[in-house]
Amino acid sequence: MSNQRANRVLAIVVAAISIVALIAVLAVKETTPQLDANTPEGTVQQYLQAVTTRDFDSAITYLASDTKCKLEDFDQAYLQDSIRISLSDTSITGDSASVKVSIENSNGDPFGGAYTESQAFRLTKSDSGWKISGIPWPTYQCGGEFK
Amino acid sequence: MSAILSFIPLLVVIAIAVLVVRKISNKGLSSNSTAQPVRLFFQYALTLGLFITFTVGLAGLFGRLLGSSKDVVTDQSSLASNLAFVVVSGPLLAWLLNWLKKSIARNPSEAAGFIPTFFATLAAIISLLVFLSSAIAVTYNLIDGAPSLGYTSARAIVWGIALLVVLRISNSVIPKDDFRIQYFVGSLITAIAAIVGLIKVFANLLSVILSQPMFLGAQSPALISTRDNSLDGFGTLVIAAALWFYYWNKNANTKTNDKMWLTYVLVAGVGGSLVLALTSLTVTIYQTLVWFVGDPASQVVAEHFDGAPAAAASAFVGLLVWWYHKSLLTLNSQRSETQRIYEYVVSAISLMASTVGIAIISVAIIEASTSSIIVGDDAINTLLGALTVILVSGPVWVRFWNRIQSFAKTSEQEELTSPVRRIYLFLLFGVGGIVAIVSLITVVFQIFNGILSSTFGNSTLNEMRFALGILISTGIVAGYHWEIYRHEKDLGVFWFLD
Repeated sequence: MSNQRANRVLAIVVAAISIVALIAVLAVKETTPQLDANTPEGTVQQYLQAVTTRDFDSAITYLASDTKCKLEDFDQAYLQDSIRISLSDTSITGDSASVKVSIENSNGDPFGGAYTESQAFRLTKSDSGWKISGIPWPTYQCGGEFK
Repeated sequence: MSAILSFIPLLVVIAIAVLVVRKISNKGLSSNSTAQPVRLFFQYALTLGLFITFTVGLAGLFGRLLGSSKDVVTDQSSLASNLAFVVVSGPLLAWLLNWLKKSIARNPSEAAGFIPTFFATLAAIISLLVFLSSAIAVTYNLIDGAPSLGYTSARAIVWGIALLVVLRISNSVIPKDDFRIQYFVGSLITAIAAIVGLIKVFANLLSVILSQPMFLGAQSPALISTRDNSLDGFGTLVIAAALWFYYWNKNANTKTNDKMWLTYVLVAGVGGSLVLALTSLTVTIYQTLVWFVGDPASQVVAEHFDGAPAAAASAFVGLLVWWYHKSLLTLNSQRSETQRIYEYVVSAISLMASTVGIAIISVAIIEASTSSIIVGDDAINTLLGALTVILVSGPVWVRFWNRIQSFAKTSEQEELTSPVRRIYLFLLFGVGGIVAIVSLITVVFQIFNGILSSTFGNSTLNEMRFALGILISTGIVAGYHWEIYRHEKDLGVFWFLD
């Protein structure tokens, strides 16, 4: 194959990938279904929405009344700007529940790869609905206690 | 006042150094003494050092000019060092360049040879690297809407201008063939950056497709997603591809089929991209096999395959780059030396990968038959990894080696007396043989150690599994190529390339 033809084919393939990718990344926006706020997974979703928008005042309202977590604990937590959290599993036993999620963070490699971590939220049912107990992600330390 | 006085010893040292250099320089001009290369070395090394400090200082000052309004804290010491770099290096650089200009005007041979080419290439490559990384950082910041752009923009602008100046001056004084090497180094750097950009773009596209509900998105719906589909790869791709076009298409690729061009295309182009393609393809197939047959670490499909888009994109881009460089080689119906080198390079790479696969299989078999692992039994994954390596690399080796051997039968005299074939056989027999002997010594040592310490048994076999695996695989390769060499060793080889 001639030099020119090889260049032309390479340019066409690279341009085609780039155009399709550009259209896809601009046009396709991942939709997130809004879950019922009265369910454990809905509570976790609302908590996570507040956390990822750094509205910690609101986030703390989804925690159980006896929580040791304070606003300062949230201020110290590490959060990436670009994040995707998906629901892995939910199990409910009477007045307690467990919601498992997968958190995808960018791993910073030059190819734009990601790493995924699993986190579990424990919830208890109170008069005002489901509340998150313990030391929930993204905090790792609340009131001097570590996760 | 005391600060100014403290500079006096430094100025005295510089003055003495300048006098010594001038003395050597004058001697060098009057006669072709052996001092000339030494003088040239220091002259060019000093010019490079001053060029770097001056450009760093200038970029820092320009960055302060563009970005200081966003600064929360002003770093006065960096301002001081940038000022010092510019004030000291600027005039000295101008004086040295003027001196070099006069020297070259008197004796044009001073611009030719290793020393000027080496330092000019180094200056051009350093400028290219800083410019490329800064320009990519600027596009990232622009895409992400970062408020502070001043320092990176200034670095990109100043080093971009520096690159142009270096290329212009070097091209005007250094013989074209001498300076050509920097276009190949530049082609390699920009090609790697463009490949990274293209992989990122393609991986993003695959991620978008896979995250749709009809694919992986169905099993684990997103609760939250603050992820903007990244456009970072586009910035890298556009900038690196434009520079690659200049370095490769406009310069390095204009004179084909000489040794430098052939070495670049075969080693970096064909060899490098084939390694990328085979490795990435192996990772992609391995992840798929582990999910369906093996023992995946996570039962969540999206978690298990989170690296799959990048691996698949790397495989595709690796194959594309391999095809491109392969297409540049003139593979005629009549077998040329270029074609021969290409086939032996591909054959060697794929055979080495297959050898690793055979070694891992041997290790996995010994491991499974000798160890009693209580927790974390992933022998099946090891075995799948080895099988994948062989599955990907094996067919490539079989195809190319069969082709080579068919030429060895039909054009026996031409093929068997080729230095390329002889080097290939020596390398595989030699390197394989050395590795096999080292492994054999290790195995025998562990046997003796087991017998002498009365612990010989299953655990000894388990301890020697890696050495045994390598011994088996490299022994097969070395033995096979020795057998071929034994039949051909009496044939004379012409040790030159056409």
